[in-house]
Amino acid sequence: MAIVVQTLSRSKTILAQQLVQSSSAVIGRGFYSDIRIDDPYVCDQHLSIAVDDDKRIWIADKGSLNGMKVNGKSINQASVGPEDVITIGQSHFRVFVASQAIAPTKKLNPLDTSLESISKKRYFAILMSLFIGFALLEGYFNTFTELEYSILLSNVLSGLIALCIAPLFIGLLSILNKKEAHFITQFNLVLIGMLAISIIGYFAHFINFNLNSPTVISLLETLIFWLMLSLGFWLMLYVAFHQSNGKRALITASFVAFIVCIQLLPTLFNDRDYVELPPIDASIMNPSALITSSSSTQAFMSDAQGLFDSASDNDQN
Amino acid sequence: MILVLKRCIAALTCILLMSAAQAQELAENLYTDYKEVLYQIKIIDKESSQKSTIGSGFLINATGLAVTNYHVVSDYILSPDKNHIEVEDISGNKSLASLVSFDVVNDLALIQIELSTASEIFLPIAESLPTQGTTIYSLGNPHDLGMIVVPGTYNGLKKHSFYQKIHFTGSVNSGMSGGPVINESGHVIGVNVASAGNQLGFLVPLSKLKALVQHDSIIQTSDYKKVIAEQLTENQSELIKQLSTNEWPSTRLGMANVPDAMSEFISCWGDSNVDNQDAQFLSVRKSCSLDQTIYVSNRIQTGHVGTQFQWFSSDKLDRNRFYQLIDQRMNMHQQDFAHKQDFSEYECQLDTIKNKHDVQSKSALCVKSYKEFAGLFDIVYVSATIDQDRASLISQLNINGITQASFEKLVPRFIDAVSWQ
Repeated sequence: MAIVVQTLSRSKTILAQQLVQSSSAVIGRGFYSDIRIDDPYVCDQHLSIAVDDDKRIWIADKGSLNGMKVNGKSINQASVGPEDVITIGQSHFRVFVASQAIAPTKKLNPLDTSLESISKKRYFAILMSLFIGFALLEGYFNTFTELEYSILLSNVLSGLIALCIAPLFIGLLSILNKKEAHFITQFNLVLIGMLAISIIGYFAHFINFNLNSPTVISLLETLIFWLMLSLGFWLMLYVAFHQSNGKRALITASFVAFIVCIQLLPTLFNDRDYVELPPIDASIMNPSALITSSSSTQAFMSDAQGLFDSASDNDQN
Repeated sequence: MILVLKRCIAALTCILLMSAAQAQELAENLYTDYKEVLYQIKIIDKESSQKSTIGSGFLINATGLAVTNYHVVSDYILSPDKNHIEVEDISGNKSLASLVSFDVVNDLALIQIELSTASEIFLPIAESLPTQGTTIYSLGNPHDLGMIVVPGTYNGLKKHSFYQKIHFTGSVNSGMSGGPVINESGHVIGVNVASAGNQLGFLVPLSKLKALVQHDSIIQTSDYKKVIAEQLTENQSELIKQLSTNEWPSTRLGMANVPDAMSEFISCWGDSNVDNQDAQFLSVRKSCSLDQTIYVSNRIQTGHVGTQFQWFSSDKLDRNRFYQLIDQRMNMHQQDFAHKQDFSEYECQLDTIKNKHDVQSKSALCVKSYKEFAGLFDIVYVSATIDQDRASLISQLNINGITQASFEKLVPRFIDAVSWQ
């Protein structure tokens, strides 16, 4: 019968694990102990462990100076299982039999395989070039003076630095948690997200240019942005930490709620907020992109009737 | 010969000096003769017992009827529960006054001063305007310093103006608002309407004053806002009628024909960036507007009508960049100081229009309503043409204080007024 002893940190994460191939053992600071704990508050032979015929583990204090605690309660002798935390001196550990049943093995899911596949460096290179290309193009389209390529490039590069913050931060956190950083995957996820947001932005501009409904489209665009943000952040957490699904969902929800609050709070609960300027977003683009037909002056004027009614209605607010 | 000439010059100088001295003397006489009829008018905030506005006013009959500017008493008209009108004569005697009627469009108000005894002197209203070049005298109470007399010249009625105003060369300061302008025989020919720092003054002319005095009806306190709305509506209906029945002259701007000044009382300006060597595009602008707005309250100026046409073309920017520029320029707006208490927010619609000349444009129309004055709206119409290769015309029409009916008369005409050459 083998016994497993897991040394734990104060926050119950496993620091070390030892296997004793016997049905009894002694834990202490002495060098002849089966499990040696280098803690000045632990005695030479502090406690003994024994497995009975029913495969239950019994622990007993061997007359130590500082005693022992099981789940925070001082006790001299106890039967313990894999859930109980034993404290002697300032050290914590669990003791259980090695034949203890474990959770069934998880099958690798398709998400893991796809995440594995985007961790390739060549994808990173492709995505990074695409991102820089897009950013340069956007800078080019929005410059109406003579183009200064050096300024354009420096703007794009400073944008890139800002973009590095999230993957580096999460990668470092996962290293601190003794997990692999997966920097390339994290970067690729962020780049895919940014590219998707740009493309959706262009698409929304195109749709608005043709359908002339800026309010609905910008609302949809914002919703899609929040959705993408949730998805991206969830995936980054999935790659970085082996959290439970519930915990990951909770962290993602709190993060996205925080961002949504930052965006909405200035207007949502502010009664004094008043927009003086006409909120015109014509979304004009290259006229070749116009695929819908035009209205006549009369049609435009008859649509305008409703504006007067809604302006009169909302003056009560 | 030279001697004769010298004598002539001497004589002429003498006459000129004498007439200046005469004018001076007359001004002094006017001051002593009429100082009794001049009042300082204050709007007193009931809560703090302090004045919120100050201006001048003058008696036009023996029983205490006095004239001042609408804008001097506007605080009272808009919040009669919060304020009251107090008047003070030249010797410092204070008394209360009540509002009789007003004309918001021409900035006039009639008040009834509570006199203990009937006044022996008052300023009668002149029968007709003087001849151009005549010396006239503006009386008032600038900057809370006491009554003064400013002599000036009557230069006729302001030309090309929808709102009739007397053109007066003389300096009318802000506290003189509501003071009388009299001719040499002491008859009122106008009322000061000052805007600070003006060396040229404009005065409300006789005809508007006569109309208000003859109207002879007392506006009920509860009707003040309704009457303001009615006066504004009537005025702008007339304005829009004149604008929309006129034939609009057309002028060239880039490749487009755009309406020029829509009426003689609309004046236009223009500029361009042709002299900018580094510019990647040509930008030519023509803007026209009515020269005056109507003061309603310290937060609301209305009655503005303005158009702006901007022509953009470029052979340096490609089509995508060019229309990105147009997108940015179309969404740029002048600052608007509207306040939530006075207006709703803008409601907008956006569409692609092909007007009757087949000019295709992206057009936006925004409307906001006046909270206190039902039936009046401010509108902004902006459009950018999208049927030229790398050239576009951005047109803008701004009208403040318009009714829906007037809007329907004017705006389609404006949309259809643009054509390609």
